[in-house]
Amino acid sequence: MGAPDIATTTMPAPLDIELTGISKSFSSSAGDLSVVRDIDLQVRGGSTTALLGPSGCGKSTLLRIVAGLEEADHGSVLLGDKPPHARRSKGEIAVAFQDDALLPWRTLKANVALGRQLVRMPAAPRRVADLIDRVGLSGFEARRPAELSGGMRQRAAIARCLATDPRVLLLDEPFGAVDALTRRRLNVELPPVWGDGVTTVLLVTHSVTEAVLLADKIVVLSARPARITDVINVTLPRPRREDMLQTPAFAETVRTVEEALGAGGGGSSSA
Amino acid sequence: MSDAPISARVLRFLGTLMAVLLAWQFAATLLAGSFLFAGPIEILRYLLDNHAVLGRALLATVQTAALGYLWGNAVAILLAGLALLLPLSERPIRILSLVVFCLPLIATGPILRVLYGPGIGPQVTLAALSVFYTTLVPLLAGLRAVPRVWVDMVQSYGRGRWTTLAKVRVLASTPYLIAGLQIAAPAAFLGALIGEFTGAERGLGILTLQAMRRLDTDATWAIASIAAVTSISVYLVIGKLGRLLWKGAPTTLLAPPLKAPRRHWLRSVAGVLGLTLMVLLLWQGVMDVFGLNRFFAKRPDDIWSFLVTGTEAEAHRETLLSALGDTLITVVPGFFAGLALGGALAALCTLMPRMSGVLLPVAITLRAVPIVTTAPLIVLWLGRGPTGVITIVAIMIFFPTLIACLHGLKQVPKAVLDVCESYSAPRWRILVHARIPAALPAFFATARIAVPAAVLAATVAEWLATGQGMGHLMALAASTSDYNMLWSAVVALTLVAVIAHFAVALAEQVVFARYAPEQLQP
Amino acid sequence: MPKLTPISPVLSRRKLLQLGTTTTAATMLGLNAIRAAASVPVNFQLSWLHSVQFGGSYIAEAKGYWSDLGLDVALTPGGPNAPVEPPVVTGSALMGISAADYTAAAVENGAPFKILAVAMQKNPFAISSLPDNPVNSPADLAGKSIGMATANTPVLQALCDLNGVDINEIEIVPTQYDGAPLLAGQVDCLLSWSTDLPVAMTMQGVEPVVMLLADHGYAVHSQTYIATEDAIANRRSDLVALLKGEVMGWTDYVADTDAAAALTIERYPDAGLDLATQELQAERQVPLMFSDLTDQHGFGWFTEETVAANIETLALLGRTVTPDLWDLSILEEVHGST
Ligand SMILES: Nc1ncnc2c1ncn2[C@@H]1O[C@H](COP(=O)(O)OP(=O)(O)OP(=O)(O)O)[C@@H](O)[C@H]1O
Ligand SMILES: [Mg+2]
Repeated sequence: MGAPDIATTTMPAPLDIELTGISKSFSSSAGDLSVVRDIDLQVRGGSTTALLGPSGCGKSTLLRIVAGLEEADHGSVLLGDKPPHARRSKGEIAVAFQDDALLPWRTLKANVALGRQLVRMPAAPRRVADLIDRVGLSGFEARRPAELSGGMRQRAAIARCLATDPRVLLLDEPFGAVDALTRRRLNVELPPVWGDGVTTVLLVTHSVTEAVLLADKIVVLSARPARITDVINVTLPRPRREDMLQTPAFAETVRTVEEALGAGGGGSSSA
Repeated sequence: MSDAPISARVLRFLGTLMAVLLAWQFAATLLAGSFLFAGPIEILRYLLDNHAVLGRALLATVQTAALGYLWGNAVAILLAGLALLLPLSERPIRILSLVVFCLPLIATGPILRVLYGPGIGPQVTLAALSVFYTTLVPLLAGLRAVPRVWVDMVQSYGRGRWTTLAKVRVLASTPYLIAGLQIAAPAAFLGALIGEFTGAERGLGILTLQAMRRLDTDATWAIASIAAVTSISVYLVIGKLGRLLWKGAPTTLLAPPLKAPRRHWLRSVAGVLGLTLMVLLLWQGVMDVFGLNRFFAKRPDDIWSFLVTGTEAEAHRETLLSALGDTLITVVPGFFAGLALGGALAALCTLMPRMSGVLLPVAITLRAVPIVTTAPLIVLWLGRGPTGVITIVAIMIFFPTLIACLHGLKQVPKAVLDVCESYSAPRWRILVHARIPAALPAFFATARIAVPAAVLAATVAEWLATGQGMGHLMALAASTSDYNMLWSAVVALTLVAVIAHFAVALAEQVVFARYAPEQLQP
Repeated sequence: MPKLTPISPVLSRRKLLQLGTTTTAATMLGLNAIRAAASVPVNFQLSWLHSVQFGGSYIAEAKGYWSDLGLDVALTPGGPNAPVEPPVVTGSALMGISAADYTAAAVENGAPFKILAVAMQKNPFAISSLPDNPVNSPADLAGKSIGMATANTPVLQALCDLNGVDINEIEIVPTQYDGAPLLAGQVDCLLSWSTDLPVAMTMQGVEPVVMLLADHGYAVHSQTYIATEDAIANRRSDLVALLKGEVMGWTDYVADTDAAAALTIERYPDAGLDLATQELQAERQVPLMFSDLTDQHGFGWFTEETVAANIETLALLGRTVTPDLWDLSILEEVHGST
């Protein structure tokens, strides 16, 4: 904290995420719906945290609150020492939405470059091309979203997120539509790309394996309204590799998480 | 391989064209001596004999129409952007635009002529006035036809309304804008043509007047044909450009439903009063700023004393209301008939795509031929009673409805179509379950436009064909310098249009809350 | 009291007053002095689209009568949506062409207009019919259907009143501004200007029976020159010059109407006019514009008697006017200084 200027320009310090007493309910003509209740959560800067919970429990809503896209009824969100809206305009946050949010009239390349454009960063064609390659989409740069498969679109969205080198990365089921093999490969290959250990990642997933493979901490949420029922630390060494899947430690963690999910009352499936 | 279908299409087109021309010539022969109708052969002969004069007139009209088209659409685009950036300004913008669009030519013509003096100013302005509202309304719908996640994405990078507008909404609204621009093409042309009635030196409108006065049917229909062909060409070119420009595909417009903000009735009343006050101030302001003479440019207080406090106010009100009654009797059925016809034809074209090849040209032609030329024919067929006026109203509004609905029916996301396909749903079922809901925003946008259009069409028909109702009253008032009555008529018609506009808005809210919540976003 | 005041003394008194003013003096001093100065731009608002209806004005312009008088005249066309009154009221047009009934209505509604001269001594309204079912006199109208613009109902009413015909026995069909219904047999006769539909019918090879309303007591000055009181007071010399050029133009016109038609076509090639039609129209409007009265006093003239007849007919049209709606002083100056 001593010399923030130098620290942020050369090697920005990782940002902690701190949620205190977050509650949110939606009111509509069909009635009121309490979605998130009393969430307290600390995420250490540079770590990866996975949110697991039954469908419709409020994970996406929580992520949107962290991104400042949704105003919580109660409680506060801090990224480092600032609220989300103070972070967004510098490209310090990136969100990969559950729906890919690609603009249909832009080519894949233009969609990936969009993030940087929006935060007014200089265009970085090489970085964009590199990211497209990393998510396995080279050769499709000039295609439009309608010409891509669902999984390809998700990967493009992730590339867009990474293009701004965000300090907080919010991923909402980023690989939901990607086949198991590619998904596993991305699970291993992407963390170094987004700066594992520097970028704070909050990830929503329905796949326990994915959660264990990516996260340092797994937060298990109850059915709606979402409350934290369990927090499991993953102690596997980093960097994670594909062969770790076969280790007993991995299998052990997976079992613990699955039990926690079952106990939390959510009947979630695991991939 | 690819040659065969194209030449087949060309053959089919030529076949249709031949059939239409033959039928036309036949009808003209039947009507020969009625001085109402001319066939293609007579028209062609006239065109060849008079190509120089016609060419110059076409150039003059096209020039003013193009200027008006540019101005009108530019203003519409600016206003739509403003309405989106400053949500509070949307209602005033909508209402003021409606009011301005409602102003009958007969009231604006003299004012514009006095303001501009000799020259093309009034024609350009009238062409602009006849397109800006028809572009503004679909554009406003299009600018909102954006799934929430796109807005979220922009917001997640810390950017606000401006960036969302520039990067997302502008492009997402392109298909709506193109539909608006297409509808605007014939409208601008007709606006310029009618604008020439305010005392122009040259143009197709002038030629039409002189030809009709000479009972020169060949000339009248030759000019009408030129107008139609020009409008259709511009319409097609803009459509083509639009398809070249628009690279996206319709997407699922997911947006959470909004609980209609239940406003206290006092607030609604205050809103209406505020809007009324604004319109009145603007009215007074424009008159005073330009220092327009009270003899013909009446102020709100003139009308108030004419209709309410003056000695003969009651007689004036009676005259006005009885004329208004006559007009409403034709406007209301014409409005619904036009909407129903446009919607039904659009559905038909979707069910039978081949139909559109025949229907669209006929529809555009009907809209593009100046009503001054067609009105006598319609009257011949349907008489001088209300049926004729209702038909004219319906013809004037069915075209924009058809175009808007056709475009709306295409706004179905591929995924939704795939679902239907996967159940082998028949076309009509897809229409009912997927296409019609997708077309609702476009439909309601066109219904809003149709309100003032129906009123204007009815008054023109009354002026040209039946000598009744508000059209007659306004023409009479203008010729006898009874500008108090003229402005009272303008106020009455505007009120009717505003009320109808709110009725459409109400219906729209109920339907959109379910089918298109993104349209209700503030 | 003005109703009772005889016109001529008033006018001559005014004229005397005006003679003392410098503006008039300038006009009298000779044209060259004015021409040397920059010419005055003047807008002259016509009542309809360009056609030989305004042939005299075109001649005045083409022969330089106005520029000789120091005016740079713009002839602004009218149209179905271009009423003459607003530009004249605002002063954007110095003078306009109207008709006594419209001017009376405008004055009733607050316009400070005066009629300065009368181009059409006889009102051009006529009822046209086909020879096999003719309308030769107002009495023939009974039991017939007549096509007309509903706005003109008072005109028909006045004709009926003047000739003791019951208007209820006539079926009025609102053909508005379309002449075709007569030829198509939808109506028995049609009310229009005699220089308009009948000319078109003749050109189409159908010779109509034309009954001029003016021949049956309908006395309303048409194609009248109007200006505001303000213009008469403050731009008098311009008005005199404008009207003077106009008088000279029309005097030439009547000498050769074909030349006027040809000039019209040449001057306005884009107005959609046809030479033969224009020649016929030019010829047919002569008896409306020129009479013993104009032979004696000059183009545009009117007298107490013609004004009184107008006032009577206008009363039938529901317009109450006084003789001071007409102001002969400018025309007197024009003809006096010729
Ligand atoms: N804008 C909204 N208005 C009303 N209700 C909403 C809104 N957004 C979400 N909800 C409701 O909140 C609840 C949680 O939604 P959310 O999208 O956060 O679930 P989720 O945990 O991400 O589910 P999934 O795993 O299926 O993506 C759901 O019941 C949903 O119906
Ligand atoms: Mg979710």
